[in-house]
Amino acid sequence: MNDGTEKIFSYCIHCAALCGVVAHVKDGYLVKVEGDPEASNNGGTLCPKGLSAKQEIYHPERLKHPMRRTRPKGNADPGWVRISWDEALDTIAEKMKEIKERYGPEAFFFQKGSTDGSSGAEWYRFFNRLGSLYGSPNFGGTGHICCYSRSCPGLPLHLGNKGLHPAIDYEKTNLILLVGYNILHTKPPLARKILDAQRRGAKLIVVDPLLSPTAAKADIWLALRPGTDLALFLALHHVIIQERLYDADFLTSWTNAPFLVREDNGQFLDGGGAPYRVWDSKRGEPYPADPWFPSDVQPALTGSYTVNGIRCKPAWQLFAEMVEPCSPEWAQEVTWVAAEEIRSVARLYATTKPASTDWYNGLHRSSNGYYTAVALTLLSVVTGNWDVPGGLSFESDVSFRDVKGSEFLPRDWVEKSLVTAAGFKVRAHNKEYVGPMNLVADAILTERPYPIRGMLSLASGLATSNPNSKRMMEALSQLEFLAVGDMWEIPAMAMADIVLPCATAWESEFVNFNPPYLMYRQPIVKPQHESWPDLKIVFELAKRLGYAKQFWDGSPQKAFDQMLEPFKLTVAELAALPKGVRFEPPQPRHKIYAAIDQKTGKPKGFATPTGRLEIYSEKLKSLGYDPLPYWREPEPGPVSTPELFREFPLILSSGFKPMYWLHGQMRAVPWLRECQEEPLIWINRRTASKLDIHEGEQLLVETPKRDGTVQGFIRLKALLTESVPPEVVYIPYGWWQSCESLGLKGHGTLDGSANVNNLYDDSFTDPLSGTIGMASYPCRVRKE
Amino acid sequence: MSRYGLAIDLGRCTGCFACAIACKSENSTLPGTFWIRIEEKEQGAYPHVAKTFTPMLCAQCGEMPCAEACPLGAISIAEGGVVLIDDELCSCGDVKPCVAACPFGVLAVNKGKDAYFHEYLTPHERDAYESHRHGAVEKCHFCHPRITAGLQPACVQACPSKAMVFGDLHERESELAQLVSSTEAKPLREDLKVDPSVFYVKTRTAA
Ligand code: SF4
Ligand code: SF4
Ligand code: SF4
Repeated sequence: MNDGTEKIFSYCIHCAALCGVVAHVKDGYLVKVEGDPEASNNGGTLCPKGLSAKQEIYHPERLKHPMRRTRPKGNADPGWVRISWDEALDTIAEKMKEIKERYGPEAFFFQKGSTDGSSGAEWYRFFNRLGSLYGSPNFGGTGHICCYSRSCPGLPLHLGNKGLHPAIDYEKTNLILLVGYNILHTKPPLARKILDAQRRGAKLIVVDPLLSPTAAKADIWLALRPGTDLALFLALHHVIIQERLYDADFLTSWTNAPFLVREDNGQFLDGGGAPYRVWDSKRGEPYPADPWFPSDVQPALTGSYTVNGIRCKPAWQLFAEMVEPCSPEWAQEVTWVAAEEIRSVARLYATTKPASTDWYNGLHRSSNGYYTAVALTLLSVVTGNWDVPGGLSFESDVSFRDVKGSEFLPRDWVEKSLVTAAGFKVRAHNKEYVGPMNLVADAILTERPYPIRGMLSLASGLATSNPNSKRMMEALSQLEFLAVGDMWEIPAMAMADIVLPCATAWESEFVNFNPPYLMYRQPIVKPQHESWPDLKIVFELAKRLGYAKQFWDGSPQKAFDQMLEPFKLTVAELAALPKGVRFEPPQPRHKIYAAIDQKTGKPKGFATPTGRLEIYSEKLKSLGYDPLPYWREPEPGPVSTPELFREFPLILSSGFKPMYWLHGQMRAVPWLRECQEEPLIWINRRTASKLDIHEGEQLLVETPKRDGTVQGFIRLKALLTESVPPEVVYIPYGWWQSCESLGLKGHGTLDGSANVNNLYDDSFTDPLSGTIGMASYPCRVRKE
Repeated sequence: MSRYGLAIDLGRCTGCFACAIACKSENSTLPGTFWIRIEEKEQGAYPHVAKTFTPMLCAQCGEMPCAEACPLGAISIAEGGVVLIDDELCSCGDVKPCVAACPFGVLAVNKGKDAYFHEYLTPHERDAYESHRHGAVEKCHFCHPRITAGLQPACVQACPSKAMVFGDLHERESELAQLVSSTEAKPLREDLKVDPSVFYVKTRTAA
């Protein structure tokens, strides 16, 4: 164009998809953004969130300058007064020092929400670094309400996949099994790839209690009772074992299925100079495994053996015994999915090669989420779909130099963490997200295991995005000092001492992959008003706390250079080219586990405790958990807590998200808000008619606490639908914000609001990982 | 002579609204005015229920029932078969006969606010919003300035599902012409015989 419009190449980081964009900028103003046709990720397409950049940047209700409270907390009007960034940061630094001195570094909490927030998850590593230098193990994250056993950190004890995301080759896969994952909307660049796979003949199977947009496209939709996915997967295993559809060679060669497990203590049998043993059926005697054994050994997968007077069974035998009672008929009772359907899906899944699987929030937000993910991923393992092109594979871990600064943390940081004190031993063992917001709230309110007195929160909804909003708000109100940064005035700011205006991602800089480029992302326009990128806030604060040296003398550019070291590139070199330097992240390499390690002369294996994929986890056993993913009901739930369902008979599920929202964000953006103006509760037509509820009527939704007293209530309008079962209502989460442009008022956070997180007691948790049970929550609904 | 056309694969549309926002971004339409909207339909009873999403936009009918109804001759066909409304000529009062005449309900009347944000308009937004007169009838024109510059309409480019194929119906080799002739492509309300340029295809039925 020759009208003075400049094209700036960039990428959107509103979600983890990272779409390449072209920003059209004229006279310093953003005119529009479009998908970059050359970007291999999104190929010119762009989702509603990315397309709305302009309305986000120039939104009149953004926070404009730092502010300080002048009235005591609890006052309806905090009496905000405008202050300078210097005053704001000096105050925060001073309070941080004071709290550290008086109570120790663990008394200060560094909170950060989901991807995006303001300027995305990219800068989080530096926020982490700040926390590490300060010495506090308590930095937040979203593992407890998001994707703990998928990628944050995943299932390292079973799969050795720590921190890596599943990366499916949709051009090669012939079956896609999706669980609790509205992928067509929440990973927009994958939509066309999955639909292309389907067009090619690949089968799409979606497990979801609700008819999500993704379920609507499925070849087979398994509509199950919320929170019972584990029962479904165990029944699939049952059929696969009964009909011998598993890959015995793979199990023998690469998993711990043949390892002998002692009947007396559940540990692996060692001996013969090796930590494990298998039963060699050719020789009729045990054979040592370190964890490998020669190829002429024929290990038994089934049976029962006695070695030196110790009775043992192969791990696979125990797994088979576990799924033995889990017939499709049993699962039909538990899950509501017809036994015949389960049987035919098991056959289809086990006989279609390669078959892939992926899963997300829908699976984790449950008290049985960890074992559910184990049983699901083991489906890939037992059918030989693990780490094959088009099967379940993970992204390659070639990446930027780690700058999180964990080395600065005190040695005992995990022991000192809140998850250790709370007894979530798998999470403590994995050393990931050890200070989740729900435990921080407990620590603030009870001063156990130690008090938390101060908090700096960036890009987090705090009370609206965490379950038990009331408790979150109460905890925030008890803090000695709270500073909150965001683009908008979020409800939790009512409890803040200092408020910081953050820039959007579009106004900030970073380096990242934007395939086929490695790119320096320059701000496409200058930060509006007095807003600052989170990255700058972190760097400037670091200087004031005396960490200038560890923060590259306050220069993000120098920090980027260090991140770029593995690529032998500098930020200046990237910035010199409009799109950066051509770089395709390496394709996932398959079967690295089978490569021979030069040092040992043995296969590389897996980063699991045994070095093999784990069907049976001795580590879990020694931490005090079931070594196998036995069936357990979700808590709360109609079966596990029937007493709560007597008065609150419906199942509340908060379910999938549409493409135009990201968690609790963006409701203020009018283009997006016109897609859906207000929050609705989805209720089945038959249930509605029994309760005499009509379309659009305002409903009051109430839920109980663990003890049966009322936890909270919210109000929403009814949407009558057949997309939810008669026993279930669906309430989307993330609704609090106003949209003045369309004349839509804010909803608030607590009782009477539209915030579904106000309805959960957060004490129902997964005992391994601490994820919170929200999939199958009791509720009652009535007209007002 | 070319005739621009569009095929929308309902088997691929997920109702994500990217097309609607891309349209807003490209054409700076006013609050409440949509040149493309998504109709959602649910059929059956849980769990035997199906859901479809149908993007609705001007079909650029060769027969133009809207133009026939317009007393002022404001609607005409331009090059490439694109139906355009002349903003100067379009000046009916409250009753807009064209709106009622369109069988697809895709004519929009500007009746809300004259901008999304008032005191925060960028220079581009100020100009763009001013070009949309209050009370005027508007509709999709296949992003006329874009297609005449050789680009795809904004919605077609943005669609994450690649549910839309745009092209020249007269160009036999084009992906569009192939799609329209080789499959179950149908315009909406075929019975009306208004010769639309927008076709709906259903490549795959949901289970
Ligand atoms: S999918 Fe949407 S939000 Fe996510 S990166 Fe792409 S454009 Fe941004
Ligand atoms: S962008 Fe594509 S998939 Fe999304 S609603 Fe429009 S046509 Fe459908
Ligand atoms: S779809 Fe409606 S507005 Fe468009 S040309 Fe046909 S009648 Fe006119």
